[in-house]
Amino acid sequence: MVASEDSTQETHDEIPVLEPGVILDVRRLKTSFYTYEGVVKALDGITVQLKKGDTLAFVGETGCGKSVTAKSILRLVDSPGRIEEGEIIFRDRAKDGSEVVMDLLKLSEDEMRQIRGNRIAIVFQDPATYPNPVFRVGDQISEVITLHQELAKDVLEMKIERLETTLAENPDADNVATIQEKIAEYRSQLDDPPPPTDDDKKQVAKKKAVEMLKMVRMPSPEEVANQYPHELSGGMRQRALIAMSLSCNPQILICDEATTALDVTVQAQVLNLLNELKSEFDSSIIIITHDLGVVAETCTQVAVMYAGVVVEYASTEELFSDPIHPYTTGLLKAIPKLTEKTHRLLQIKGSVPNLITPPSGCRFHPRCEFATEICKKERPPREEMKPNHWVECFHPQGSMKGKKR
Amino acid sequence: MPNGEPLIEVKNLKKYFPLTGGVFRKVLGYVRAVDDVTFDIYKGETLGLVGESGCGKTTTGRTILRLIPPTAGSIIFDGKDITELNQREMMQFRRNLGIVFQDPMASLDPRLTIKNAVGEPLLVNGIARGYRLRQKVLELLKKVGLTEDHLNRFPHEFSGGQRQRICIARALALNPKFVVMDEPTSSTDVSVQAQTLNLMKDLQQEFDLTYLFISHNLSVVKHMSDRVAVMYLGKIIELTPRDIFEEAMHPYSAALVSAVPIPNPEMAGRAEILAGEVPSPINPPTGCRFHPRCRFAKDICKEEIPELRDMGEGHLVACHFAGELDLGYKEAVEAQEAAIA
Repeated sequence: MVASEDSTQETHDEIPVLEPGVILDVRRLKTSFYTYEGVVKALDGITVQLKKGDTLAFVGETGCGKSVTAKSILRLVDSPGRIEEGEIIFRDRAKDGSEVVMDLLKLSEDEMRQIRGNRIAIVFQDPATYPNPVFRVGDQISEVITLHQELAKDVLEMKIERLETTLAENPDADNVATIQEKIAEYRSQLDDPPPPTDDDKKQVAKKKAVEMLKMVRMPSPEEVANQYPHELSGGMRQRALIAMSLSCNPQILICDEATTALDVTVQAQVLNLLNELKSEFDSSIIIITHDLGVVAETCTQVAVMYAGVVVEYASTEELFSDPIHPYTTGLLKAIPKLTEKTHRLLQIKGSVPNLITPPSGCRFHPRCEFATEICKKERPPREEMKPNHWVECFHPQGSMKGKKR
Repeated sequence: MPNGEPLIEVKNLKKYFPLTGGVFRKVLGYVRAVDDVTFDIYKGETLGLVGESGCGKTTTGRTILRLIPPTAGSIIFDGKDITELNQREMMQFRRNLGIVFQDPMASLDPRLTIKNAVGEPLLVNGIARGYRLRQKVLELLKKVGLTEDHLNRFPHEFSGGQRQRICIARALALNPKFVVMDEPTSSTDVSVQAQTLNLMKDLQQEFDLTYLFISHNLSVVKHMSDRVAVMYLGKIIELTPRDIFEEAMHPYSAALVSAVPIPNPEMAGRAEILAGEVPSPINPPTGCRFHPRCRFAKDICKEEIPELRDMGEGHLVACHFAGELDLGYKEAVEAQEAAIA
């Protein structure tokens, strides 16, 4: 079964088709950067799927296109970069509970802005540079909330709650009747709330921001909301950023090397948190990392990338128990192990190629010990070699060794 | 090896950085980056130094080389106390020492060709010049896997892995006895990391080098080292000639080992999550510095600083309850073994 051919007919359909349970489907995505030195073909036909409730990992070495994929999904690729072709099909939940399926690449910039940060959110790598240093943490989170959410109902609820607490505090006051009247009036408006004032909105958003900080297990969230980013440690900053990204209850959270800059003990805390939040928020997560250990700990699906191509895509158990692509096997063997004492590590010879003039055929062939003539001439098709285990290779290893060509 | 003779003896080494403030730059306090550290490095061995960021690993490495003057303590190199050498003597002595820094881009002058960068130590020390210098540099470059074509290039023309090789060549130019490797592979990818680590092991054998290998990556340290020292907040809390990953006796070492993500999905969720973060070294906790985060902490831990005690075969542990605790990391190790098999 060759995937790239049987799905070509769908390209021109008005409403894209999406398999049930799949929330994001990236199809043959190509992104290039037009630099002075030439065209950098950063992504060369990426095809991956993210199912609802899954954690998908993009793993690979520097410059393999992991981050560009994330940025392409959010349409954050800046000039001189350009998304050349492909589809990014996203299934969104509308307000009334119905499902909307759309191609993110065909949306207008305004429509995209409604998705970005709201339905699909991203946490960037470096927690030291990403939050704005001149605004308080709480204000930055509430900005996201006020931008993307209609807070009318929340404002009313807040007002009712306040009146009720005043009632509860002194039930014998003179104005009990007027307060009860007010509450009744607000209650009647709940179904069709009037537009709130900016001031009310701000107060509600601030309250929600503190709740979000509590959600990410931030110690003393009320205080942290009033602090500036430089007053927080790396791990706390990353928590604040995760809080900000989750504040609109996104369908998909993308973590772009979110734990790379952290120490192992703090990294373990953050990864644990992400896994807990996924079920709490009913979201799906995309994790971008170069650490196969992180993948094994947190992800359910893995896409191994090399030089702008997804060379292998499978479930985590499958990939680690039966790696098929020579690059994946090499990568797994190159990691120093905790218990094994070996004198030499297996190394993949050479280094990642320049993508202005990528190698012909299979992009991995100059570094591959199994490469033959065909690898230089033709790009291997994306094949489902085992059920739900997709590989692009002419010379599969592992359990598929010797079964092809 | 542990029964060999020590090349370097570090005794009660301290490095405090003053914090100043106000108009007269009054000293307000000290950052106790390295606080009373004692250990030996034996000839021909690799001593690994691990810990989280800010625990004083790098400061220890640089202070041993006297790149930063120590506040107190002595460093005895081959029987000679190098803290007592004056500037001139130190210059002479530096030939025995080398260092490879973490970021190869920042540690190579962007305006020097590779020939000049690697040749500079030879020139400064009057060892070679002119054609002989070129020959010597070429010899060094070949040792680290670079070729003649690379001689006249500038650092920006190289990839990260190649740049790190250049730094290694430069560190070895004067034929040192002792090299500090300060996170040499933390900015490189796994496949390049494997190449660099293999190269460093080969060079160690060829030149009979002694390494101090500093890293926060426990798997890498384990791969490279004969003995491993674990640092926490400026103190060495455990030093083991055996395998730290099987024999860790300090609760912090055990937590550190368990926090390393293992590339085996069956082991997911096994990590012992340490609560909180490393406290400030300006005002470290009393008693055992790890006690606020330690799940075994008792009253004595808050009051008394535990000494490094020998638990047999030179396995030093600074914990009041060393050997009495059930650290529960064995599971992790067994699973890792299963992953390999």
